[in-house]
Amino acid sequence: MDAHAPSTPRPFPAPLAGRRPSRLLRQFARHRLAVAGGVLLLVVFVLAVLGPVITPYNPERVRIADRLRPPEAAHWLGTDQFGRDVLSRVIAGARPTCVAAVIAIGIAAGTGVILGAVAGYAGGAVDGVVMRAMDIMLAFPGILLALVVVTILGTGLVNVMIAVGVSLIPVFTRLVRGTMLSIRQREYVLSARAIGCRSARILGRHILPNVWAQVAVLSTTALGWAIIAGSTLNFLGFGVHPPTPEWGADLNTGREYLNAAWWMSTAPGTAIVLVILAINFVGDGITEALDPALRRR
Amino acid sequence: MGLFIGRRLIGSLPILFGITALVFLILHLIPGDPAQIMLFGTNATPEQVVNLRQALGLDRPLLIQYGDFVWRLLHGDLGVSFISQRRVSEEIAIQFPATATLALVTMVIAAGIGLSAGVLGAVYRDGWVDMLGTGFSVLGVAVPNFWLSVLLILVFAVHLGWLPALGEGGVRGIILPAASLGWGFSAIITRLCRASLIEVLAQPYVSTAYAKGLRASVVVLRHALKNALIPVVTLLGLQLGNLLSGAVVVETIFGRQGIGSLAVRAIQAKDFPTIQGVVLVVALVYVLVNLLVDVVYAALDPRVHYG
Amino acid sequence: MKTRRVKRTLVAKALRPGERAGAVRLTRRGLLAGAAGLGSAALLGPLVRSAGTAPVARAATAPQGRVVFGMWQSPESLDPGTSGLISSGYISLNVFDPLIWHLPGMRQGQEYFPGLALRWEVSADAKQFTFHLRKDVKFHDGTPFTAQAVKDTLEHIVNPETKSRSAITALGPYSHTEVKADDVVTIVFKESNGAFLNNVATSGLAPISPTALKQYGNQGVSQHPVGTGPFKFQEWVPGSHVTIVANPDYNWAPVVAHHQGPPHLAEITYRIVPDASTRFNALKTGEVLVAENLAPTDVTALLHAPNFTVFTASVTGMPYAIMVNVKRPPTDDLKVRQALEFATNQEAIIEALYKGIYQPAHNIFLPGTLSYDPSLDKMYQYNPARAKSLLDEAGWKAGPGGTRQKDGQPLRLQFINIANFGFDQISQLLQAQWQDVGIQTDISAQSFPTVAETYNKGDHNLADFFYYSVDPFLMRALYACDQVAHGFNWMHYCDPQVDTLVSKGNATADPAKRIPFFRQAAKTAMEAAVVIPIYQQRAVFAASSRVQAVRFTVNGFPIFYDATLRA
Repeated sequence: MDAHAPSTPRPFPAPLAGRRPSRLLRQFARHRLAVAGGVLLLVVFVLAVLGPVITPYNPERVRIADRLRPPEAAHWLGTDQFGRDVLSRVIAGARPTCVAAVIAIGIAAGTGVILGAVAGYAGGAVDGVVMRAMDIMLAFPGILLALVVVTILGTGLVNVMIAVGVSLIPVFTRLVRGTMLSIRQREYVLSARAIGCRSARILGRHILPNVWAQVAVLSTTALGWAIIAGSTLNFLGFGVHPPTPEWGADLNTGREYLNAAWWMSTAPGTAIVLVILAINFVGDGITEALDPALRRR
Repeated sequence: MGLFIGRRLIGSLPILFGITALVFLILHLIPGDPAQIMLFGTNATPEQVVNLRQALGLDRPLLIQYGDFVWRLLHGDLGVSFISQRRVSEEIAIQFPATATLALVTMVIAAGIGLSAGVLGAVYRDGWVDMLGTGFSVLGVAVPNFWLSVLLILVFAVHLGWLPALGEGGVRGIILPAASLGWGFSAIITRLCRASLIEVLAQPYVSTAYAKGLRASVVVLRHALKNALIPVVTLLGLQLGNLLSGAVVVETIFGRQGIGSLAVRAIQAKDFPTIQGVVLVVALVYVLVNLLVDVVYAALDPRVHYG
Repeated sequence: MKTRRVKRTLVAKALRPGERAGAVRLTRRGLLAGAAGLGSAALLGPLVRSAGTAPVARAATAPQGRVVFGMWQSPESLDPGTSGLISSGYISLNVFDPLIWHLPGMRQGQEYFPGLALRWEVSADAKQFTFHLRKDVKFHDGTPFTAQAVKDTLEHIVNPETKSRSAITALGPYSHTEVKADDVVTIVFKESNGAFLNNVATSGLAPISPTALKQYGNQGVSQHPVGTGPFKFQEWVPGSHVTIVANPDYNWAPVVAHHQGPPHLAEITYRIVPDASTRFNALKTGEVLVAENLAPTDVTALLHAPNFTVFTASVTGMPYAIMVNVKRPPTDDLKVRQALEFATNQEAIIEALYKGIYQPAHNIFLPGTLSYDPSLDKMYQYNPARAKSLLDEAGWKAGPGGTRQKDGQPLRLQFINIANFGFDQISQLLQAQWQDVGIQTDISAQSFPTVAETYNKGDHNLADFFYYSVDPFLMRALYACDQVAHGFNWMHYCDPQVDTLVSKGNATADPAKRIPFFRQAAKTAMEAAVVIPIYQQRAVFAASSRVQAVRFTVNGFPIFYDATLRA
């Protein structure tokens, strides 16, 4: 095992090829929390898609007379400092928050897979260069990298997410590369080679599915990181442009009113927590479904 | 082993150089003129701005500036801060211990929570203990740091009065900030530890140990855990970058001094020398810590072979 | 006793005008003013007894008690001649003494009071200022205070190596200083400097020990401040705190103070706590005894809390306002700017964010400032109908999505906030108010000082404004033509007539003669609709009720000389 790999989850020992999706799903379903998580994520996805249409009030509508109302009949989650309905803002906030996180992970995973695959497959000097570059990026503190990117590109949710995505590239690269290296040494790959299977087939049937699986698992955790990183950058003052509702931004604004109006931060904060928990449990479920050693009895 | 360390150190040099180049490049790509910023509000004439640029060496070709920077670096000179006019090495030296202490205590807390939850989770698999443990540590990752910190202050400082809200003053002051950070890191430790331990517990030599009549706790703690610790230890080293990110937030909320807040101030003020200095120091620490981790790794698992 | 709750206190000195270069006191969140319950928010009226009565005898007991002051920003330098930040100003105020004190309203017919200078003369052309100094004053390092010290300090300020950010502007068109005798010094200016008396009464121009200047150099005194004040510098742990301790030899307090001799407090620690909610929580736990810049809702909560006091002090200068860029379309059109003025509902903003705390502002000067003209308040009262008709006249017709358009272009403004200064809430409200008349506003933020460059370049239509000062001559720094490229004139406004008026206003030291010029200048500027005033700021501090007798300057900085700490 080379020095870079240890941080990554071990690749799945048995060949993934040949496992039927329905069996995987059944394995997944055994993990109760994962199922609960999956359901929640589905709900959030629906909100993200339908969001602005189904909010009880316009999330950006300012109504000073109604400001800082505690949860009540007219406003289930209360109102904020401008009289905007918190529930509407949470619902509408699902979209920017999720889209941003997905963009970040898309950038990170997409680039990471390409770089990692190249490094893992080509080996040698190419591998060396890529991994050195990744080491450099990893040594650069993530938040500083994000801050620097935002200073260059300007504020705004998209830029923030690009910054976050870029800072996550090394993690994915390492994962993919590590997986590729590991799989190549596995007995079933070696035997496949021995009996004359062509590289492309080995790649397609053994290596790639494993890689996707690992990437999927990491993505779930990384989505959580991205959401948190986004809200941290909001806290530092670089973030979404008002008055867009976004969970991290609203959480940060609500902090100022914590004593006077606890619902302002609790609502988006709870949304963030639940979504990240859900993502994590789903990730756990996928891991266990794919890895027989961890499978529940 | 000595050879191994030596080789790794030499191998790290390109990384450090790469970082200096990267940070140097980025800083000079950022729009904005440091000379202008330094002189803002001083009623300086345009000539004075130009003079300052020259004095700071900002008008020379990039390559020369970089070369000069590296040359001074090799002599331990990190330059002078644009904002405070103090030497950067001095500023970092003042702020570093606070962050380092915070990092250490954070890791201790994270390991404490993570390992406990992980071990319990693996041993009492799928039971409510498992769910509780995993749930607790995952909560640390799900709650944004700045919010968690404020909540901790409200509960433990304002309402209960057990701990101070301002995170300084020795032992009592460091508990809340470190707990806030550490809780977040514990999640990944829990997951790794639990997964590793489960796998290890399924190994034949564990059943053999049981068969020999060893008690469960001994088996788990002495034999299995040692092997399960390997990925955990490596992970801690790699998390250093994330640790600084968390430190930035925590230092701000708890009013602690440290490299995190220093870095943020420097970035906002385009204080190039300080930014470069901080990034370099962090990178150096990162490289050293990971080297240490690899050494520990080799010590923990004699089966590992370093080619 | 309602008045105990919100204490108004002694206004001791005006602060340096340029002071706000980096200053943010302007708030991170809104300072609050517990005007609620106060009724007559007398501007500068101190609660202190009035003229004539001699101050009390020296302090009876040795200094005791330690006050921790929670402030949000880390000082960059402790040298009053260099620094541009309020945090530094808070500290300098207690470590250095000014030559004179500016206390309008304290006594009938007298605005200026002796400090380190017993009496002074101003030449008719306001170019020469002569001060007769006290002879019994010593710096903290034992150096006797003489006219040479004054000269050395001023030379230090104008020295380009010092990179003075604020004091140099306060000083003005300095020529040289003449040491006439050990206790007589004349400061000579190249041009008339009517504002000088106000500015020399600030800690920015306060004398620094010549020995320290020689020993530590122009840059070194930033870390080793040596003054003549009631407290002396003990330590500065960057990023954490600054500690000052009582000066046992202090015996030259101004007549307006409540006692003579060393201060009552033994020690003050200025603790840096960047986060507002933590400052508030630390106040509640007692880790901090005085806190600045708290969130409005938090201050309101403390107004009625038994163990806390809310101090407020009104300030002079300019209100918090939005600066409008006259060079960038669509705000290059006077009608559009005027429409913005009429579409702004300051009362609603106050109601929403600063209820009972600040008053809305409709003028480019604050009440209490020399040459403040109340009749200008009526120029732009909230009138959305008028705003709409102005926009119609300017050719902006109703368009899709509630935003007007002209020639196919939507009426869109770029509002660039200074990140983390607490102004973003105001901009959101303005965005909503302006949308009601068909103006779309895009809000973004950049941190200071990067944003200053952006403002100078002119990429914005609307900017935050945070510079202010005590003397109307501040118009020079904000409205002058030569301040566009590199200064604070973020409106990119240039009217030579205004520049002339402002210079004339500074050509004499006689307040009565200065007023007409500044009034005319203010009227012209307001008619050009380059600035949208929002609220009249005040200094607001929350403190434990154990802390008593804190005084404030004309700019609302706390002075702890008379302060005591109850057990």
